[in-house]
Amino acid sequence: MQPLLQLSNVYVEYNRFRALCGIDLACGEKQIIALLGPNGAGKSTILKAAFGLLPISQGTVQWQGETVKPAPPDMVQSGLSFTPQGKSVFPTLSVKENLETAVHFIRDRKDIQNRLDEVVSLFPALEGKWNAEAGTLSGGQQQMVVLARGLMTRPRLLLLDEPSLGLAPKLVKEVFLKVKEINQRLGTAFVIVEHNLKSLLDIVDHAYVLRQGKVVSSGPPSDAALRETIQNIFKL
Amino acid sequence: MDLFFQVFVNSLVIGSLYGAIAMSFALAYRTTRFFNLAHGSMAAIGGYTFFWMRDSLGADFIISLPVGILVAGVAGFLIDRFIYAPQRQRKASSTVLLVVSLGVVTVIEAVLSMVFGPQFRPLVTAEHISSFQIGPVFITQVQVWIIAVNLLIFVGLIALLYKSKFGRMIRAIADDCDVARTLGIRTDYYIGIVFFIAAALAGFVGILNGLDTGLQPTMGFYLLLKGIVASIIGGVGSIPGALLGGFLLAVVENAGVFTIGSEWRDAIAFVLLLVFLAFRPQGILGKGKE
Ligand SMILES: Nc1ncnc2c1ncn2[C@@H]1O[C@H](COP(=O)(O)OP(=O)(O)O)[C@@H](O)[C@H]1O
Ligand SMILES: [Mg+2]
Repeated sequence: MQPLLQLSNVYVEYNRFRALCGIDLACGEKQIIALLGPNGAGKSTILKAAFGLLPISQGTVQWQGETVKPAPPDMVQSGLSFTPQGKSVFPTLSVKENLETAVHFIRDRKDIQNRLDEVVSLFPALEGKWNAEAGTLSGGQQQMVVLARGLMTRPRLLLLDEPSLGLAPKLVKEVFLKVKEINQRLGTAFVIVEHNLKSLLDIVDHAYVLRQGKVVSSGPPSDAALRETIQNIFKL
Repeated sequence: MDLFFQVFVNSLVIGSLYGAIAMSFALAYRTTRFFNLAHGSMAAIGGYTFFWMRDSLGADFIISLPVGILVAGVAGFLIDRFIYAPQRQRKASSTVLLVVSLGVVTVIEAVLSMVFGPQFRPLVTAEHISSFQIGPVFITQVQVWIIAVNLLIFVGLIALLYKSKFGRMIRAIADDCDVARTLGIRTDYYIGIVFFIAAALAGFVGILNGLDTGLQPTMGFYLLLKGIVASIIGGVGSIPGALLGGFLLAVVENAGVFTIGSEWRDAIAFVLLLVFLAFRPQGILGKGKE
């Protein structure tokens, strides 16, 4: 079966610093993939390169079976969404406005309303917060807004960069359960970047471990070799 | 008492000029966090275009006015596109952009001086100076225009920012330009339009200022300094703050001019600025430290 997103032998440089050296990675339809690795391993760089925020110096990106030169506006409209790491709500916009910005390319008001209704049914917690400024919400709620905003385009694949950042463990678990629920209800695939969160392994189909711009191990979460690599890297 | 009313009305007029330039400055500032010192020069470009159309081409007011506004807007757009946007793309610091914009001011002033001469040029005509008398107070037709246009700009900008999709997009870009880009928003396109609108409004202010008094190549920078003071005391980046700041600045200036003399006008403006910077740096409507 043709994967949804496939990176083959991808290299990315910042000025002269080589951040990715020959990355091979694939995410199939409806899969949840984890990218784990220490800080500076190149996890964010992979997502940015796949989404077109950074130029690739070598290698190819295939999206839905076709080799593409990714650019964010095109990727968004063809079903790939990206949520950057860190606080990424628009703090002075209301929750509803935050969601609406994601579908800036849709003109049909009714279509936008349908999508809002659809998303709010997935996030009942946001129901009463519709008109609140997003910056006034708690960290966990903001992360839900970011997830909801990512779903407004009805993506086939959502790239999430460290959704756990700054959240208490209990909230992290909630976010991951929500991801799993979305994956099962809508069939959305996910590539999730995390620093070192074994709890992420509970929800994923496949994991990659990165170090210094290279994939050092990959496999299903139950894979013994994979687990050992994770152990070794994070013990250092 | 009559004098009081006259000073009040004069403050309304001058405060409207300050407020209008401050609001248009704030529109671009709140979107890009960039202190564009060339913003006032768009007023000069609008004023001189109007003046040239009217006096050299003999064009009608109805034509010269929109053309003056449009030329200023296009100038603002092009300066952003070819000078500021490339700096933004290479993530230049705001200090670099500030210096670059100062360079733009210098070039525009030099070109205007070369083409139109450095001297002050009155634009006033008998028609525009015809004044009304309301009780003890005199106000010219142009001055009524200035007050009306200022309020129109305020209402227009608030509606644009908070009631339109375009406004939502530029508020999102103002909040976080990088995140906006990750949603596939073409941020430079929106910022370009913001610069067009801001410069067009400044051009309008330049024309009105010219009709009220006159034109000089350096008028833009002078207007902008007052606009910046108004913007800071109102709450930098805030549109209602800029409106209020403009009026407050004009009232304080005129009260000072009336009591201690007109040569103190600019000094009073900067004393007011210093007072605010010392005691309320976030301005009247600013939210303070985040
Ligand atoms: N804008 C940049 N300019 C230069 N180097 C960068 C830039 N962004 C990231 N890097 C470097 O690239 C490497 C990978 O970064 P990143 O992908 O952000 O790592 P991760 O997300 O795994 O923590 C790091 O060594 C980092 O220092
Ligand atoms: Mg990262």
